Amino acid sequence: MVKMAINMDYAERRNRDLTFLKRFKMSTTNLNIWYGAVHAVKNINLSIEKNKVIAIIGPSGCGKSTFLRSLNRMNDVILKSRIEGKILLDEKNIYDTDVDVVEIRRKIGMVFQKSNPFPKSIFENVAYGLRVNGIKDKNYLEQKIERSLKDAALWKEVEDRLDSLALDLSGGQQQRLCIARALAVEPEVVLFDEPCSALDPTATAKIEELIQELKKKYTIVIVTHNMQQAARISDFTAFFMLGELIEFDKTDKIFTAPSKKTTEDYITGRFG
Amino acid sequence: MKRRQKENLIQGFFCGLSLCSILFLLGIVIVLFKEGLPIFNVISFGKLFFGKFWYPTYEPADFGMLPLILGSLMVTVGALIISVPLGVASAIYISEVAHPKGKEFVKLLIELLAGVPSVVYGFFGMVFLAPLVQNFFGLPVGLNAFTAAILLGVMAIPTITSVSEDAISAVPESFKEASYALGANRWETTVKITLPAAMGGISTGIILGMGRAVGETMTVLMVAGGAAVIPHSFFEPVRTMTATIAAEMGETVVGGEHFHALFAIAIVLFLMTLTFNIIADFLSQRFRRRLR
Amino acid sequence: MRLRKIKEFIGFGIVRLATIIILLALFAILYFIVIRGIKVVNWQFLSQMPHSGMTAGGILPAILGTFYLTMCAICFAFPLGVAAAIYLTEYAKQGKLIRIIRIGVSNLAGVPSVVFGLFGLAVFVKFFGFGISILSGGLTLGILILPTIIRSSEEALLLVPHSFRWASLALGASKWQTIFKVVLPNAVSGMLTGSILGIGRAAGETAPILFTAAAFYTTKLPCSIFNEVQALPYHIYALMTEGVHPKAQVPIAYGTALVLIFLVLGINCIAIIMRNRFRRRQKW
Repeated sequence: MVKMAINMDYAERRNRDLTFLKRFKMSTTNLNIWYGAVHAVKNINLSIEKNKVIAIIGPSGCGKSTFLRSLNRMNDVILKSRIEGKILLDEKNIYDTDVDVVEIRRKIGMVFQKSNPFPKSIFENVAYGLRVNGIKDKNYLEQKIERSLKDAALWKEVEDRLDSLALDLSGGQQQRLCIARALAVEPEVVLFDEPCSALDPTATAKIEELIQELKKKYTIVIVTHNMQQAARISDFTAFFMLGELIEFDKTDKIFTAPSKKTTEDYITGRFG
Repeated sequence: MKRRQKENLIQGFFCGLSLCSILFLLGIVIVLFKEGLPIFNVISFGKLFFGKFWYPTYEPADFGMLPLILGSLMVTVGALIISVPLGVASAIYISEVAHPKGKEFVKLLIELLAGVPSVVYGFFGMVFLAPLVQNFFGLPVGLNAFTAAILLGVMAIPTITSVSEDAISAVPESFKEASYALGANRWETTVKITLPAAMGGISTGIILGMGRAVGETMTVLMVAGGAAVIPHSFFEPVRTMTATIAAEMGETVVGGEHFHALFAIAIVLFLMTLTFNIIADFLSQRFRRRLR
Repeated sequence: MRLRKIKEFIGFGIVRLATIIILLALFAILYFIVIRGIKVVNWQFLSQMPHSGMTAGGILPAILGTFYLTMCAICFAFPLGVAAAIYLTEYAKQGKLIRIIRIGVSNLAGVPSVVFGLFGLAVFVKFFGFGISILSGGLTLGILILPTIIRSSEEALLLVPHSFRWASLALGASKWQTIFKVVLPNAVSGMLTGSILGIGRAAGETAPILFTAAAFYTTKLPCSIFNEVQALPYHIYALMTEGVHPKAQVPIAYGTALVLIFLVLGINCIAIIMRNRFRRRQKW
């Protein structure tokens, strides 16, 4: 922490309010993303508070997924993109050249739209992240995996068949397994990219409940096309349209008294 | 940042190995041209390609490739006459007629046919087919273009069948359903709708099969008879380009005129098959784009 | 209406007939060689050296020679091909250059095998000075099957869903860890299938070893990779076209052909069965 502060240039340090830093886990400054000629994300300034759930809503193609994936630099892999601006995790810009991408992704976990367990056993799926981070101790692994599966509310359903293939689980279970897998490496932030879009209502309810539980330990950013879901689970909501951040506020306020006309039109279902 | 160095090292390692393999493959082209082009110091372009006599060991030698080119052309055309109808028909059978179980079985057998080594075809041709052809047509020799063409035809079938079958299977069900709905029966649908729609893919298969026939060496070396003279009929012995290389390379002086001449033949072969492949590539890409 | 039905019947009848003709051709070849070859093949035939100027004895040196050549080829081509495929699909930026390389590689798969033989002669036999030897022949066969291995490995890698890679990277795995622990285990079966097909091809090829490795008659087994060898496919060719006792040589050729066919089709069968198994097992 101290070292980082020294590394930062003076002006930047002065401009920063320490209390502000403590409250916020991540923030973006003038963030712009292009895919080839397409300007997908335009000038986003957004701060993400610790131990809160931030929902990102907006019509499809509004850049919300792109934005989410830029937060743990998954855009580096998924599509060829160019990025400008800053994304701070604590006080470090994750796009600085001396930053280790791998370390960033360990700190900022991600759950994808379509559940994507590896074709391995349930145990090995959750163990994967720990193993690649160099943990070999069997005891520790077992404890950690139990903890993660419990955190993901999956333990009871799978405790007696940890060795069976993850692909044999139901869709909702697979998604919770992916959450457990993400939690196992002890991330600080967890990103959810429309995690329920392929699930039935019961499975969705379970995951929503889980997210409420998770925010005690983690900071959560969730992209969703389902406004009711955003209203149910999030503390803050950001409304994106055509790559721009139209409005960002407490969820209650967004859904009851939005300050922008477009936001109101969207949440009352007039388009999108 | 130790991890990053390690990652870079690994990437470098793979980059190096893949460069190696690409260099080897590129090397083929380079070597062919390096060893083949010197022949033009001795003989003109026109004489090489259109010269009617191939007497590489005479003094002075004649390096007229025309008999060889014609020989290759003859067996290839013959092979296509046999393999195209059979190959396309079997592709129709597999994708439109056969039951799922029978389909798998026929596909497996045709794949096995593709796996039979060419020297075995040659052997079979020498001991079985050639005497048969000789007796049946009352010829002085059974080892001739006709026999070779039959064998090459059989060898080209698996290529044509499998590529055509892919193409026919790729034709969307909706086309066929539309045709059935208009009262056409299955045969009419196959001939008027499915085949025309799959034509791009089928022609890719035919060209690839042609490439296989032109490039085939052992079979023609053993069965085609080996006379390097301009052929006048299908029942005469011929000598193809590939067979010439295989038969004569063992007896040449490395770096001599004959050696370079054989490499020049290889250049021609290489360019021919390359052209076929490029055309096939082009056709199959256009075919896939159209279907989409 | 009647006429149309008859037409359909005849049309599909012709299609069936064509398929039967093709299968008959396959059976004719197999039947002919098995029936005549089985009379010759016995344990002595497989385990003895040839003698009396190629007119009697077994084909042990040819069997071993084919084995050595094939091993040499696959040991050379498998690591190189797989590494190239990994680089091309996982690391390289997917631009024009990579596309040209891909097209080049796939076109080389169609180049006649005798051309590969010439390359082997010019490069391995002469330039590197390996002479006519197992090494030269094996490397030539290796280069012959290299495009096949690169292509099938690439296909196997591309079949692994991107979401697996993303999941792994999002968990803080490095690129190499992702490739090694997630991508390769799911691609390895496809790579192996491609390579086994490559082995089958290498074992059956004659033209590339004609002037790089093959000898008609050796009195002793090869003792180093710099020795020339006999090989099954070349042995058939040589028995039919060289030597001074054609009458006595033909039966041996039948036996050799049987052994070769058995070997090559066996290898192909294994590959095909493996491929179908893996396809069925895949769930993603």
